[in-house]
Amino acid sequence: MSAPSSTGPSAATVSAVKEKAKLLSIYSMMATTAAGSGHPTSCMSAAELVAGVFFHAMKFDPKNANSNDADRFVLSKGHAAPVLYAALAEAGVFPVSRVMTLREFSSELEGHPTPRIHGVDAATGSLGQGLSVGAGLAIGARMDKSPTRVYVLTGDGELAEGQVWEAAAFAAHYNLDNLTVIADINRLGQSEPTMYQHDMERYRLKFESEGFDTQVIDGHDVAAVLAALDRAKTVKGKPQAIVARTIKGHGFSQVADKLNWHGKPFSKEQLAAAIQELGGGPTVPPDPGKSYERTPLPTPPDFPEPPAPEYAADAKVATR
Amino acid sequence: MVAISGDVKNSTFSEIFGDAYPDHFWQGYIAEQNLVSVAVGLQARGKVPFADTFACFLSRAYDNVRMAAISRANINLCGSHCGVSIGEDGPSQMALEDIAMFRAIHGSAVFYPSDAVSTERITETMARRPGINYLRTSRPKMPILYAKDEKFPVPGFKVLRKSADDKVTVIGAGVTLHEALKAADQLKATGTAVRVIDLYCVKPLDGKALAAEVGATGGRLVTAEDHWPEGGLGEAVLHALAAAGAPPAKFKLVAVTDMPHSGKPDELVDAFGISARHIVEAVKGVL
Repeated sequence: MSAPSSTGPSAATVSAVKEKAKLLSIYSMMATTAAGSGHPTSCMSAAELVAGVFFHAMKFDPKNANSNDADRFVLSKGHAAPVLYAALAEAGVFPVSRVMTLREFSSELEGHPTPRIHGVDAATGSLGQGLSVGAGLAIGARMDKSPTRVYVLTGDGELAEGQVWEAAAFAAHYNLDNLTVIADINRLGQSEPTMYQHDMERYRLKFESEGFDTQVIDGHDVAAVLAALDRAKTVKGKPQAIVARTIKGHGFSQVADKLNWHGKPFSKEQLAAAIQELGGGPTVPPDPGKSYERTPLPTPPDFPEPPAPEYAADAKVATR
Repeated sequence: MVAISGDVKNSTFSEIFGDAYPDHFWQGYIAEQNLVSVAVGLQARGKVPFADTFACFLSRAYDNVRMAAISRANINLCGSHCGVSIGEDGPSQMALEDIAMFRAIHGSAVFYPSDAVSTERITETMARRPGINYLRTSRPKMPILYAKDEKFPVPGFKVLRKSADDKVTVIGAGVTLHEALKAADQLKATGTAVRVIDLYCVKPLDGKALAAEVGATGGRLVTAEDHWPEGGLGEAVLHALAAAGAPPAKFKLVAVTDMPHSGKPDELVDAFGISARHIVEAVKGVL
């Protein structure tokens, strides 16, 4: 994790994150093709953003991915689960081969993330809820006086959900400057383009009017992604929004920015063509079948028994 | 422990907690979906959240509750002002489906206490219990039923009236528990003894234990609730008895069936079919 530099992230840093982003895209495509289902194009629009968070901005411990001393990441656009799993693998939580068990019956790597997976705090997949979860993590960190940060990745289609703006108002009202939302604005929803497509100014105004420090960037320009993440850390008193203009299916010309590719895995032939277009990728060995399920899950902490309630026998009290 | 409220802290009295522990209280304003998901975030950091709002408004956060179950979250939700017994505000503020809603959440517990002592003790139980815990509270003032050291196990219920001559078991909670006690007094005065059960825990249920009580009254059962008939206390009890191999021999389910409107709480409880006289009628109907 590097401190913000007045001259921006170094060329070496940018190059390293770029390489990670490429791997995240490739693994997402491979995993969804192997599964025969999933959302590769939604993963590809977010690759640089997720790589920037995991491999530059976040303080992350792969041995204790849900640690209260580490930064937290919420994938509000839960259908991009493969890109999260790829990031967790590259970060060392489990081997890359495990990512290829996506959506299998016996794998903890479900179609949408759940806390059965290390590094996941809340199940997502029902869009619009992640920023609220992030706000809960952020106020929890504040109560603990912890310097940790929370990163939330949303899609653009999900910004139509009112709850996103409930969470935004809450976050700004409580000055949650330990909360950064990154919006992956890839223009295309499931069945057609989103309301605002690539009208980035519209999104900037929405977040800014809610009281967020807002930056608009090219979501595939790694240097810009890293600079925005660095800048977000310096903002005091306001949560931050990084509104990223992206391309759904970025990197594979057959699908990039094209309608009707939401939730469709690539055929084996398309996968090969895509990997080639991205510059080639590593071979992934078959998965040995070891589970990386997070178990047992936390239960509420114990506390001393409080004193018995004292009510006069003849009192009338509402249960509320 | 953290309390987060949907702008009703002065109705649900989470403000009492908030005044005592201001650093642990968050005003959620009128945004119930956010309220529930923020609670999920909080418990992921090891906090014990209690989110409160009017019970009826939790219905707009049902997807959030559903996702909280998938998240295996440990959260406590308190829905107040349940049923027609809230009175003048009318049906937009009355929860009549919340028991059904929360029963159908994986791993949930549904509590519906009838006095202040049980409410306090159950709140403590909820804080310890993993999963989604729902507490249904009421607006009207109710008499104290229990001594301060009473325990409220989960599953569990309290038999408040019992004799060797009980002809029918009557199960209620909240306002209907108190109406059932009035009904029992009226029936006793006319020579019919009935057993009265406070079903402070609607889920989970101990079907065998319930079957023992209903069995002792010849399989004759009346349930009463400030809730629609679908999916509430009565259906929960029926299912538990049947699953224990002991469906009731004769049964009446007393619940709200017509669309309520404004009125005094006592007026509404009577007009909408769940007061003592309706319970008396139901008992006679199964004798």
